[in-house]
Amino acid sequence: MDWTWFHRWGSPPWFVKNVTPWLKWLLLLAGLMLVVGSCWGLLIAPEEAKQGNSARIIYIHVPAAFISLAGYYTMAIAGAIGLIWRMKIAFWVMRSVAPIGAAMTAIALITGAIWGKPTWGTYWVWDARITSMTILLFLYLGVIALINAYRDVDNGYRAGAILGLVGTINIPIIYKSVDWWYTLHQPATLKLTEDSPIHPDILYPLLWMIASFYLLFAALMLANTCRHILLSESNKRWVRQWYEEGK
Amino acid sequence: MNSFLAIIGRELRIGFADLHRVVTPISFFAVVLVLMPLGLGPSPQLLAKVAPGLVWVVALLAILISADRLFGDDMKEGSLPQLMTLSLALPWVVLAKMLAWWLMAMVPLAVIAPILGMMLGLSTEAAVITFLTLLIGGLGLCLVGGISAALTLSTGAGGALVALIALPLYVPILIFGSAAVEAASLGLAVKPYVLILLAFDFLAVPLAPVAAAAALRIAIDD
Repeated sequence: MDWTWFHRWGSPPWFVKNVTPWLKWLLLLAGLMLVVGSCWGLLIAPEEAKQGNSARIIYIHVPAAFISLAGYYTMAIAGAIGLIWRMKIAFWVMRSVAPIGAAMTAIALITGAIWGKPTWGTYWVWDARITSMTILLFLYLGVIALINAYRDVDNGYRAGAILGLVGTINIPIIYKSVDWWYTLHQPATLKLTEDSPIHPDILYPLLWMIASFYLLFAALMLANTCRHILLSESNKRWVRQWYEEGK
Repeated sequence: MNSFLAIIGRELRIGFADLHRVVTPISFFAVVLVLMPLGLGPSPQLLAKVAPGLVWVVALLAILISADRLFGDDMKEGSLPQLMTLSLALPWVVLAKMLAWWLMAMVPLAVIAPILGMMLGLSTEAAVITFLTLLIGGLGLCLVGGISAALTLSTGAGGALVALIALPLYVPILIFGSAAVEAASLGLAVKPYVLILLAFDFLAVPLAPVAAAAALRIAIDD
């Protein structure tokens, strides 16, 4: 098998030169999909029978929760690739995913709290899923704080990658917590292998929003990765050339 | 195997020569637990109810107090690079240090915890289970705490960062450890929780020293 594509992706100039031209289109597409999905979910999709309009927050809450876990996996896997193959690009991806994942975790927690008040009668309960999502937020913050604490950036990335990998023991617990401890949060209703109990009128806009959030995540990740590359390579000649060409 | 035991012996000799290394975490543990009735009120029913969780949470904090000494002293006096050049592979050296830490910090803590627990109103069975779970779960705490200590070693950021990193990783041990004590005080079956804590140890004993050794190599580079 030809592995040159793999090495090309490992080159910072190649990455920046090939990602930035279509980055704005990707962000635009993600934004458009979010607008369409929001209109679909908020205006067109029917009202939920028991909860009324408050249930519409799932169009933000569920996709954000998806991304918060997917972000952690991305961060841990990118960190592992960086440690094993010593690819700097992987470390930049890891570094750029961390704040995005933390933000998505915070969004999932906040939207859940807002929805919880009218539905459960309380903003916050120490339910298994909510508590473990809060722990996930601290895992993200720990990785970011550890990377930033190192004087040498590369050592910080390597340490952050190890912490990310060690932290993955918590991810299956978070993922399965709603099935193992049935407290207040409902168990998973979106399943790949079975028919979902959600009505298609609500399910389709939800799936659309999940797809849009994934796209947004990918776009933000690439944008932030390019930013980190340019920041740390700012004294290299290729950055100056690239910048001059762009003007 | 001989050098493995020699490292444990060295750690214990250093630890007991400098007794406050052993006494400080226990004193911290005791004084925080003594503060609890002052903060929460002396109601025996309330204290007995929260005692399993309190004992466990304070134990997590107490063990973290001594975490930065685990590699910090060797780093400062320069014996860490020496330990890294031994014929014994670095993960084994790290495991020996973690085991010695467990013997010096966690075992004494597990011994006094039942007494403090009973002062807070735990039943005798629950106090016995407190000892047992702190002994078993405490090994996991030392192993995971060792990774955090190694990761933060060269940053100079100290205790707050170790805590931010280690505490989220302690969640599974805390859940099953305090659940075991809770179950014992209610007269329910304890065995499943103890087995899960043991399973965590069996997972952490081979994996944690490898992660901590990798982190130490970064710290030496830094």
